[in-house]
Amino acid sequence: MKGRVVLAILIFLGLAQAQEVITLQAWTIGPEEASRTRATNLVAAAEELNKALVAEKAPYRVKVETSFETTNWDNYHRRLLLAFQSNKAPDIVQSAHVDVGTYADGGYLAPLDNYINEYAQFKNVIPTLWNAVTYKGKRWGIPQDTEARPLYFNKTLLAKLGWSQAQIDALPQQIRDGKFTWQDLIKVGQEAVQKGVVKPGYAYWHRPVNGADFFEYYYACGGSLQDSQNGKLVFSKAASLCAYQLLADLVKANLTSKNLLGMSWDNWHNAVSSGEVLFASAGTWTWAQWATQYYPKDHGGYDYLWKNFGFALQPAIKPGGKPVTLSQPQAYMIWSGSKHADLAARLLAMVTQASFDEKHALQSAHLPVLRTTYALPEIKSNEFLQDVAYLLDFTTFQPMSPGWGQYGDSFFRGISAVESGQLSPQDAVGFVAQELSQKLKGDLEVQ
Amino acid sequence: MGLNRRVWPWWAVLLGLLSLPIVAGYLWLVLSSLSNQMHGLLPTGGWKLQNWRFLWESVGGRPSIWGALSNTLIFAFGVAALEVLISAMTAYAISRLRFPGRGIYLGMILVLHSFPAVSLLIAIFYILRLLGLFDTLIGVILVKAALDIPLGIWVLKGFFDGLSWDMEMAALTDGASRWVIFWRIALPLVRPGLLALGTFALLSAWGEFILPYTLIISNKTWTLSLYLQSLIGAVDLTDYGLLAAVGLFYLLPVVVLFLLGQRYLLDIYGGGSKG
Repeated sequence: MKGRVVLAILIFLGLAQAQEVITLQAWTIGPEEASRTRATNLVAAAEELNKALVAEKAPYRVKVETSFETTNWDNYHRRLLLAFQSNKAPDIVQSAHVDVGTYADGGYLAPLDNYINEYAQFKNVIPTLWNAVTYKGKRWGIPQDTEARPLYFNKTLLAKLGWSQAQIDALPQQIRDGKFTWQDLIKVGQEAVQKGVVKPGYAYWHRPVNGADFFEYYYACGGSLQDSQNGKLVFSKAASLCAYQLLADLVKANLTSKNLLGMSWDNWHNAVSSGEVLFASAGTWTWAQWATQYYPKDHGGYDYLWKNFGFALQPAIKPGGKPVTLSQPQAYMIWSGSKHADLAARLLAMVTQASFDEKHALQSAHLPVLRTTYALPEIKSNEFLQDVAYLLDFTTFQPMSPGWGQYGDSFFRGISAVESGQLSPQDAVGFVAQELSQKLKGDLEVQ
Repeated sequence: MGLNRRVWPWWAVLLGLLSLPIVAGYLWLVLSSLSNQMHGLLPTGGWKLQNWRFLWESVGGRPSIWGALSNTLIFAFGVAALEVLISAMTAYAISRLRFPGRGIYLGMILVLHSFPAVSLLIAIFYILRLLGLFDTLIGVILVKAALDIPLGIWVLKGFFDGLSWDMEMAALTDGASRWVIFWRIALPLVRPGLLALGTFALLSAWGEFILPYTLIISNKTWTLSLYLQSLIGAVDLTDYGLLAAVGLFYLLPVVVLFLLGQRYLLDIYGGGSKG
């Protein structure tokens, strides 16, 4: 009898303890280490969500298993696509907003409009960012962060060239007003090479591998990438020629090394951040990368950067033209096959809070996505985030279209051919136009 | 034929010199796994054990190395066991039994072996997905073993061919079944071949990268080669100390295995037993 009572008590206790734990999988990517908060914020948000679940006396708790990719985007996309295809995708996926088009068309994403209307947190998201995740009239992602891509200039090297402090300080405004253009940059760069301030080929560097940055030249040349009416991708021959010509000029004038493309990021970052390069196009997040990992890490960190580097928009092509930058917001998406989509959406609402947004912005030098975050004292007092905020007024996005990946690859092949001297800018435009027409057929307008 | 005692030291010196680049590679690996920073082959900035922190903690949110190690062990031993078992049975059948189409079958096995795994990856993905084995260790084990078995069959066939018929004939007249002969008589005689093939399969699976890289997507089923690859970031500065330490950790079991199994490995090239 006694044994039975004990058994009954044990069973009762066991039942009381048995709480269903729902595990949500989330895949995230930096690839830079500084953006790890994309994963850790989800885990922290799950803790908050569990507190709420306790208060509601819900019969379940949530657990988030995250993976954070630090290798590269290709690797991540490959894994993701295989996972989608084999029905083994994680509940939550973080990726760039441009991927929304491809993934939504593939049927891999759940539309989020109902959830977005349900949770109040989402109302604080900066409205334009919703455009970046809207495809075919539905919203498929929750903005996670955004950024801008400045032109960094080395103040110490400019001073060596004979620039006064006032001239250096005025440069960002000059670029913003369209008074300092690419033509001026080439002149300054040539002078720096001639005077031996930098080595030949070290006056201006763009990124060393394929990526969105290259469309900054195209946009500065007045090109558009998508027809807003019918959603078709657009290839402007005139804008491409202007962009390719600029890159050819940079190589010809010895500002940019012929061998820049293909360099490893490690070497790129170390050379630029240690002061070997005069101008370099990079991202706002690069600031944090430099301070925490590369040459500046052991030479004063952020203080070193403030002393040696300034940042501005990417210049206009001609005087009076429009300077530009480009943003690629990141977004959390929910897999269409997720068994716990409701819970995943609730978790995303939890993570879309100023405290998490702030933590990520401060740690990774990406820009916050919530209006409420910009009002927080730490963000207000963060000089860098405040100083780059105006870049967003000049920003451009990449189009969302399933053919975008191919478009970007072809455009980059043209750049690579021009910089290596294999093709003239004119021939490269012809080559890319032909390749794109073949690949994208009816989804492309050549102008 | 022995080497002349006076010439021998010179040969040793020459071989030593030729091996120097390889030795330098290993030396670099060992030194940089233990030091703060390397300048060429010289450790600078003092010694540190921090590079080995992956042994007791998770590095940058990666799964534990011990999980990856046990996955790799399961993978390598699984592949080796399957390969040896299936190759031995097939090789014996081909060597000893007369059945229609034997010649063609043998030729086709050779053709199978000539397909590089990479060219089959997409088809393999679809098949594994259909079977529900995508992203599982079992799936990758089956694929790896299947791709390596043709070579195994050819190797072991050579060993079985080298066995004398007499003993099997004697067993047959005593009333032993084919299975008994295979299991009790033939297999023990080709033991060196089995061990050699096993070692070979184990080493090959241990170093396998492209199959797990494509067919495993969740980091719970990571093998050591995937763990190592995850350390080579595209945009961040690679922590070479850590990379070297993990590389060394990945390498050690192979070195041990090689030292234990090199005698058998040589047998693969030497042909069957002469007993």
